[in-house]
Amino acid sequence: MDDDEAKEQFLATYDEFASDIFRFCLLKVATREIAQDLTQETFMRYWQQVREGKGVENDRAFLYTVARNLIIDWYRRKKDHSLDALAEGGIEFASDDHRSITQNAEVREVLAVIDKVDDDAREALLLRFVDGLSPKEIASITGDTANAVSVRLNRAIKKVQELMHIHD
Amino acid sequence: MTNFNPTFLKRLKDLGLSHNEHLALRERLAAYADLHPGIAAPATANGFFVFLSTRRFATYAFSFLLVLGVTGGVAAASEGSVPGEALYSIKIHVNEPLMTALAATNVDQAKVAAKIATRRADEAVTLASRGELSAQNQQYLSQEFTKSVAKAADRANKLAESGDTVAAANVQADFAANLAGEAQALGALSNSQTDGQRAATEKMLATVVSTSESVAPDDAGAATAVTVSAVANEDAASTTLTESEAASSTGALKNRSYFRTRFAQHLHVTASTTLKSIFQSQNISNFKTDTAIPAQTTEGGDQNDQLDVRVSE
Repeated sequence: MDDDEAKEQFLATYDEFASDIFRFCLLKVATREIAQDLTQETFMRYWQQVREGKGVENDRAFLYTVARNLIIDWYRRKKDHSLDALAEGGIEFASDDHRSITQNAEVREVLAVIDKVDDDAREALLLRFVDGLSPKEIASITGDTANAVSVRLNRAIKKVQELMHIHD
Repeated sequence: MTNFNPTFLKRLKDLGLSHNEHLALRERLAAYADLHPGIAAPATANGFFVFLSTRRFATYAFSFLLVLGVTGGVAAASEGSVPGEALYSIKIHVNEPLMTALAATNVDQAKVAAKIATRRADEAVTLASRGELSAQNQQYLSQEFTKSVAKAADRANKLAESGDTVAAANVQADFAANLAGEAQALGALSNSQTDGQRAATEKMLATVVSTSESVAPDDAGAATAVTVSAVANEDAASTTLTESEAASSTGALKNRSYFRTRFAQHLHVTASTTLKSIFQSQNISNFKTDTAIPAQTTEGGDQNDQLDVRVSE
């Protein structure tokens, strides 16, 4: 595969997964600009793998793993008061494409529910039901066993069901 | 367990990149890929291309070029190149791997690693001075600089752990001084640039300062372990890690704190409120010095906008 083909394939991978990775980052860092930076960094590192000839067995899992590690590094660099400020400010998800008020309200509603489950459970829920990853793929990203992910998902689902009854 | 309907969760799919954001990021990544050509297939590992980055290849490449009789001129010409120029690839993929390959001792390797890191910052200075430090170049150089500093810190730590703590301290002192010089140059350039150029320069400056700062751990105990005994002045050469302190260091922590202290001491920056905000955001404001910082007004600014950087003794 020559340079042009490699680049074409790289950009095709970007087209396929950029929004998923961005969303994954946004729901953890709460700011669009930071989420975009992390997304960019994730794909830059993916390109480094490609150009160095290091095989990537599962592009999607690799991207999520890199993004997750970058987010962990980002958290380490932030001080506690900054995280509190982010939590207070809520997720900045308004973008420049003028989504409808209804769409934004629906997103807020979902976030209000899943915000009440713990971080690991929320992450598993989103990866499974929003991004469509299998428990095995999630396990490869988080470093857990597939079994542990399945258990976590079951518990998270029960919790969400309880919360939704409360919302009803 | 009752069936779980994840439909409501899928509403979160709306939280993706907007069309414009997607395109803008795509463009930046395409430019990055052009700047870093790759020819390996994504799905398969190709050992040949891994070989290209090895020391052995660098030596073969140099030998091959010697045979062609073009090495001296090409290699020398490439030394001054910056990202975006034709010979830059030779500088990065031939000259620097060769420098690393030919560094025989631990000390030489630590020095070469530090030199390579400094070169990234220096390239940013060169581009900024020409008004050519684009956002893409700045992002690339920031990333490469951060990686290079980590490698240099790692080499210095290995040198310290091998027992040659004084040599490690000297390498780090020189490294800190060079990086401080690059930071000063970026700071001075940012003061004279237009808004469009200044943003990239200031981002690069923030990277140089914060990455240099992060060479030391966040361990306050390690920071206080180093005694800086000389009076702060323009020539910080008299401030040294004494042999007994170096010999008694636990691992590399004290050497890294020493680096941070020397970096801050060398960093005499002229005034800019932007620099002040960068330092404050990176928690560098705890450094204090009694060396007077010359006042400088920027166009449209006033003398109240003075950066007061002080280094503790």
